[in-house]
This record gives sequence, C-alpha cells and structure tokens, in this order.
Amino acid sequence: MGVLLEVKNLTKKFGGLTAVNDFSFEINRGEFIGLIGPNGAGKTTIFNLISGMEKPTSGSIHFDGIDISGKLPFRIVNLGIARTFQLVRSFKFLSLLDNVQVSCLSKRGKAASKTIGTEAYASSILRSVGLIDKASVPPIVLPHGDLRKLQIAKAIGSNPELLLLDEPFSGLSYEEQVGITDLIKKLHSEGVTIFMTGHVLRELMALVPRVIAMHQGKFIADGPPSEVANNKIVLEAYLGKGEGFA
Amino acid sequence: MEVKMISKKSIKNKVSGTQNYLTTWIKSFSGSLTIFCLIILSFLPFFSQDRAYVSYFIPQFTFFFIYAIFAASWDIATGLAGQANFGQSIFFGLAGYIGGALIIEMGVPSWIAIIIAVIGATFIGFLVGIPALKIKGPYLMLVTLVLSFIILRVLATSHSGPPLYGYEGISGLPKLNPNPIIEYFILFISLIVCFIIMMSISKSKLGTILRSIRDDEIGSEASGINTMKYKLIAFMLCALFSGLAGIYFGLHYQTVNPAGNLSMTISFLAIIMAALGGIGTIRGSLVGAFFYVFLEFVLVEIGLDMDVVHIVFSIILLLVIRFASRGLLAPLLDRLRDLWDVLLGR
Repeated sequence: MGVLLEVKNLTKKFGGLTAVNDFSFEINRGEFIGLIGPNGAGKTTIFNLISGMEKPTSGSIHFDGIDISGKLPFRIVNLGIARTFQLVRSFKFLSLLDNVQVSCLSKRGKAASKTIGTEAYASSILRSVGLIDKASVPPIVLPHGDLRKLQIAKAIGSNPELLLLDEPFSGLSYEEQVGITDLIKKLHSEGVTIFMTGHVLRELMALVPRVIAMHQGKFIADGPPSEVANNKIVLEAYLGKGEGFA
Repeated sequence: MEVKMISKKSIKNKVSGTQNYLTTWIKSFSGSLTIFCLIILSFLPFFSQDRAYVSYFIPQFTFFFIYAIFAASWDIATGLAGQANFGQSIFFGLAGYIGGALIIEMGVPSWIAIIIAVIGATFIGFLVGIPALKIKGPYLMLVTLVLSFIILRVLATSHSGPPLYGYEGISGLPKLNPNPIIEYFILFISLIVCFIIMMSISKSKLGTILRSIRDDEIGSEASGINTMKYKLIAFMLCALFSGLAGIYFGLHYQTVNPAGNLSMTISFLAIIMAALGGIGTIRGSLVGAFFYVFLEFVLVEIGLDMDVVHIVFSIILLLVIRFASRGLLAPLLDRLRDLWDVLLGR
C-alpha cells in the first residue's frame, strides 16, 4: 500500500478570505475516499491546489514522494493525477474521440498508449465509458449525463494513478448517477485511487469506505462514513436546524 | 518480438492507408475539385501570349498565391490555436526586411535570403508568442496590434541610409524571376507545398492539440498538455509561413517599406481573407484570397478608387460575419457538391 498523496498544513488565502486553513490528510494507494462539506467549505479549492490550478499560500503536497505544490497543472497530470471539474468542460468543436485523445497525447497518455496508438487507446476508453457509438459527434449534442461520462473519459486518457472527481453527480438524474457510480467503481477495481467530492451525501456515503469532512476551510473529521455522519461537529456544520441526516 | 511485429504491421497499414486515402480522396468531391483547379492553374499561363495577359493578368494569380499562404498562416495561430493575433504584419514585413537587407547589403543570393528570412520570421514568431503565454483574448489582440505599430514606427523613423532606409524602405530588390510565368510557377508550387504541410498539420495530432487549446485552454492543461509549448509552436508555424509570404511579396514588388509591408492594413488583409473563407479551416483561406484578389481586380478595373474598394470589402466582411459565420467556403462547397451530384446523376 503506502502513502500516495500527503497533504500537510495546506493553507490557501484569497485576499482576506481563508479558503483552506491548515489542512492535512493522507491518501493511501488504492483507496476510495470522499471529501464532504457544505457549499463553500473549500472542497474545490483543495482540488485546485492538488491539481496545480492554484498555488498554495503555505503548506505542502507530496504525491508519491514528490513535492508537487505549485507545479504547473500539466506536469502534475503527467506525474499521475488527473481531475474532473464541477462544471463540465469539453473541447466543444472536437469530436468525442478527439476530446479524449487530447489527454492520450499528454506525455503520460502517450506512454500508456505506446503499443496501440493514441487513437485506438482513446476509442478503448470511450468504449469503457459507453460512449463509443457517439465517438464522431461533438460534445455540444450530448445530454448532461453523457457529458459527465466524457469528463471521466478525458481524465483517464492520461492514465492517472490518482483521480480527483469534483462533484461527479451534480445535475444528474438517479439513473445517470447509477451509471457514473458503476463507472467509478470499475475504475477503482482497476487500481485507480479515487478521491471525490460531493454534497449529495447519500450517494457519496454509500459509495466510499472513508470520508474526510471539512467546514469553512478546516479539517473536521476523517473516518468511515457511519462514524463521520454521526460526528457532532459534522452534523452542526451541515445542519444546525435539527433536521436529521442519513 | 510482438512489439516488432506490431510496428511492422502498422507501417504496412500506414502505407496502404495512405494509398487508400489518396484514391478515395481523388474520387471524392473535394479531391476532384482540387485536381480540377490544379489542372486549370497549371495551364492558365499558356492560354494567351498577349503581353497584357502575361504581365498584368497572370501576376494577379501570383498575388493570390502569396495572399493564400499569408491568410492560411494567420489561420494556424488564430483559427486553430485560438490566439487572437492582430500583428500578422510583423512576421510578413520583418521577413521581407531580413531578406531584403541580406540581398541588398550583403549580396546574398535570393534563395538563401528567402531561407534565412523564413528562419528569422520563425524566431520572431517565438518572441511574439512569449506574451501570448500569459495574455489572453482581447488583451493579446491589443498587445500584438500595438507591437506591430511599434515596429512600424521604429522602421519608419529609422536612419534613412543603409541598411533600413527609413520611410522609403529597401528598394531595388531582384525579381524572383524576370519571367512572370516562371515566377507564377515558383509561387504556385510554393502554395501547393505550403498547403499540403498546413493541411496535414491541421489534420494531425498537433492540430487536435491546438484546437483543444482554442476550445478550452484550462481543460487542455488539465489533460496534461503543455499548453505554453504548443502556443509557441502555433506562433512559430504562423510566423514561418507568413514570413515566406512576406519575402515573396517583397521580391514581387522589388521593394520592402514600412507602409506597404508592415502596416495594419496588411494584418487586416490576412484576417479578412481568412474570415471570408472560414476561420479555422485553413483551406478556406484559398477561397478568401481568391475572392479578395479578383474582386479587387475587377473593382479597380471598373475604375473604383482603392479606398472605395476597401469600404466594399468591409461591408462584404460584415455581411459574411452576419449571414455566413462559417465563411464562404463551406456553403460554396455544399452548393457545388449538390451540383456535382446532379451532374453525375447520383
């Protein structure tokens, strides 16, 4: 096993606002972890810091023993961390195949697709997420559920070891959520370490064996979902009005 | 062992794939159209021995070839990679200056001067690309525009002696070839070579990466693409072809000067032609340049003033942007394809 991602005393300030405050945690290789917290807790900022989209004010992030804090996003991808975004983003004038192929053309994606070529590699990814029959259409014609699948397909094109999924269920119907859940489970069983956020707690808690909870940029709890769900501080952070949870 | 087998097989596949691609391309509509145009253009100079035809009408095609390369080069950085560039005259003009100064001051043969000018332009493309690493959209547009103004002013106010000759510019350059027909063919072949290269870039994986930067730069970076590197490559490719067009242009007019080779009009010319043909298509520039050169030719022949001609083009551009934002090429091809199918009874 061993530690794959080690975040130590991570702090990010935007002017006077402290979005992430002295945050520390570790992720082991092969784990499946959720990051929860109310809206504005700083979940996306944590992802932005890990993926290099933002530079930390202080603190460090180590991936596989390498210090990645403040590195450029594409270098972090090529070290083996891929991410998806809360709002879907796609290359809107490229076909789905090319959308996925872009990440296969990254240094790490090229190494992974060396034997079969990036095009065949991208098609195999599209097949595994169930979008192969739409390979030649641009993403603008896709329904939201398929766009979410495309996000994951684009992320795994670079053959990541750690996959950061930012709100992969947001805006999906129940059926679509099931599809994405199966996809994530399959990726995890293939050995990808998964770290995901969500504020729709029921789905997330049912999926992951371990969750980290945060509130107003601070770490508040870490443990199995059942424990975290009954943690007093977590309940206070989420509810505050006596409405039962889970 | 297995890897070796696969690679041998893939090479074989690639070769037969290219052959298949070529045969289906020739049979396809756009392939037949291209071959048809190529044949017409190859025989065009020999239709008439008339002096006016050879020394006045044929050079219009020479312009068309130069402008098509120029417009398509703008399309690489802006249409493909999405880097708003309004300083295209920088590469066009400075390549002319580099080549011109080498020929006049150092007596370098034209062909070597052309090669050095193109290399120089590529390097300038690299330098201009550096601000593009941090600056985006309208701001990049302003930076490149202002940069072209600065270079224009610096050259226009430079010392009026060698090597730059101030506002007058470098004159007395040799023609590419004194025979307009041979000049025509040199540029015709350059056009074909440049377009084969540019079209294959557009269709290659490099083209996919450049388009991904245009569509979503952050997403491209998050896909593990070194977007800075590829933006620089886009600017360098753009400057390379633009520089080639620029030195050809200088040699055709036998002079390089700030007003004629470096002005904002030159940059807008590239944009107008690429937009007329269809931004991001590369080959649309062919249609745009053809349309521009020959409409201008006709309007000037009718007796319109050059300023009026420019107003006409501005209005046409507005109409194209409003009613055919894909450019003229795509709808034109659609119409022709319909006609083609009817003619062949398909």
